[in-house]
Amino acid sequence: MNGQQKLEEILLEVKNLKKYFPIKSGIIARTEAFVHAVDNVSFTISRGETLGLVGESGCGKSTTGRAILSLLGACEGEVLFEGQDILKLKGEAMRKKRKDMQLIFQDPYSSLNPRMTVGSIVQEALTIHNLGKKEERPAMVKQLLEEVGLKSEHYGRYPHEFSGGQRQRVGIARALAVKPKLIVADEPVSSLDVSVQAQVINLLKDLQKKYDLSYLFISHDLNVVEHICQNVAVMYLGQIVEMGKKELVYANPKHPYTEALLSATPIADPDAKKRRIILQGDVPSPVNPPQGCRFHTRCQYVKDLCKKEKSQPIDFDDGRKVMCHYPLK
Amino acid sequence: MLEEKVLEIKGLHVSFPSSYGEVKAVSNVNLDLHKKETLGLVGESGCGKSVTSLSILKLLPPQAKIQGEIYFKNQNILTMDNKELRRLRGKEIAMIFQDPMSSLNPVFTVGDQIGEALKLHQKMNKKEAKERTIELLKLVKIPDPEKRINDYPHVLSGGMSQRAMIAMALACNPTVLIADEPTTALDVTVQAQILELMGELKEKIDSSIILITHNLGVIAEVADNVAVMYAGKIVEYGNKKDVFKNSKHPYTLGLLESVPKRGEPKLKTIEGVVPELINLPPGCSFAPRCNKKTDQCTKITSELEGEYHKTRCLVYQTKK
Repeated sequence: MNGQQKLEEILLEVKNLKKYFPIKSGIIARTEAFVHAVDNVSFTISRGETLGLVGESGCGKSTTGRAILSLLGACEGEVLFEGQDILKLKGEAMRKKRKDMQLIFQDPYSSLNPRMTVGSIVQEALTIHNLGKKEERPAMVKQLLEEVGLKSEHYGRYPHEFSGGQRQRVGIARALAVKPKLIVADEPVSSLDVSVQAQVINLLKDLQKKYDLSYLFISHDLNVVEHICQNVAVMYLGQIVEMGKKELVYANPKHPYTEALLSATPIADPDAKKRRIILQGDVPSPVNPPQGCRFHTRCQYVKDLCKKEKSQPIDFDDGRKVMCHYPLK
Repeated sequence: MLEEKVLEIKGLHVSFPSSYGEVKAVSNVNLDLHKKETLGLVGESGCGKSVTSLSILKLLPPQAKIQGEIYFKNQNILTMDNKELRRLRGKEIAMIFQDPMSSLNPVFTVGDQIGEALKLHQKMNKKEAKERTIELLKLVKIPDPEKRINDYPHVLSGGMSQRAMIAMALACNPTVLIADEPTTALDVTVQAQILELMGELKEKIDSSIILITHNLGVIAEVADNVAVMYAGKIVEYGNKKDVFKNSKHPYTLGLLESVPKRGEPKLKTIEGVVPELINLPPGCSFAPRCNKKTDQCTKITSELEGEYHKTRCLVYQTKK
């Protein structure tokens, strides 16, 4: 961590973010229903902080990441980046702002253009934002490549010549090229093997220290999130059900979903004894989320109130926010 | 003490010709599977774990060169003809694949697909097959099995499809069940459901299971014995506890250390990348990435040695 003072400085504030995708059908494409992908999500990220966004597939974590970067078009709510609502920015102003926030993609195979050399992929970012003189750019790119653990002679090579881990490093170099303040990392290590995954995680941590970066780290792997993040937000069906300091959330989850998620994560230790909570059924459809608390259909502690009334976020003294009628002790 | 062996792999070599040279996907793999045992096969992508499992059912493409012997009930699978293999596949040895969505046929109902194995191998008629299919779906805890057998795969969620796949694999009470990354495509909570189901079923059906995965956590929870593979070779093989708690091979150790754990500021990593299978380094394949290597490691090829807990490491063997 970068000291308490810096942590106080809020870089990104998301307020009541909502993104519904319409489902259209028929010849006149009438909107029939909405996918409630992100529903009333609020959180903040301070400078130099890593917020982990965890949840299962379809819970809206990637949509949240994209909405923050204003990549999804119209969304409800506010996304304040250094105090400015970026959802209201348009055209040139938005393009300028994009320099400060970058995205690292999940799949290093499909996110790099196979017809471009690694050098030109990274350099394109510099050209678009008009950084450095034209003659200086190749040298800047080579330096970036070395910074992410590649070699400067890799400049002229094509993506297919690299392994998955190396490609992910290229993706990181590309994001880093414009000196962003915030990086949204969408499952950056989930397609990598364990030993390579560890290398990339360490690289992300080193870069954060060096450049005072903030990360929104989206992942389904609770072990990875625990390792890299200071704060964690757990999403379920488009809502953040629990958010708080990593140590608190992992040691003593207050939402039944967090508890089940933690207990379901396999630990690489045959002696680890634990009570596994098996959630029944599947995640309900976000088109028609359950009435009342959205988790009640799978919750083992469900009570009558949960089925009738929507749960509201409750603030705890330790800074945690939990969306549950009956939070765990 | 030990239950009888049901499957024995002896000196398995698999290679594929390519325009750049021979790809040695699996070299000299020896494995034993006993009755009721769950054997975990773990390693990173490209280490040969899936090729090993596919060669057990002889499902590899025709250009693959296979050497060695695979004995199932004292018969060598690799010398069987297609007719004998058909009798084996799905009946004696069944397989669960990684991606349930793409391994089910989208144009047949779930019931038809499970029933097919029953009609073929058990010579059941339509009605018997339907009854047994419903029983099987109940066994894998699919709700409303009477209705579900008429569903097409696209209606089912990932977890449900994987349950249907397991039901299909169990249809003929196989002696050996090969599960190739059965939970990799699933979410953690669903993964927990499937792992628990597999554990329960193991008690009920007395099959032996070969579980292939890259997830060390899954292995730690379900396997009895573990074989760790690297670059086509088994580098460590033994009881789960021995392998996890008392690792003898630097690769196993490195792999275990690179799993993120609580309260560790920096992850330990294995430097470098997996070597190409066309161009394996001389001596020990792991030597270029090993932090304990000696001069000998790059010259002499180490062998898998040890009585119960075997390892392929020169440094460990000479120390002893």
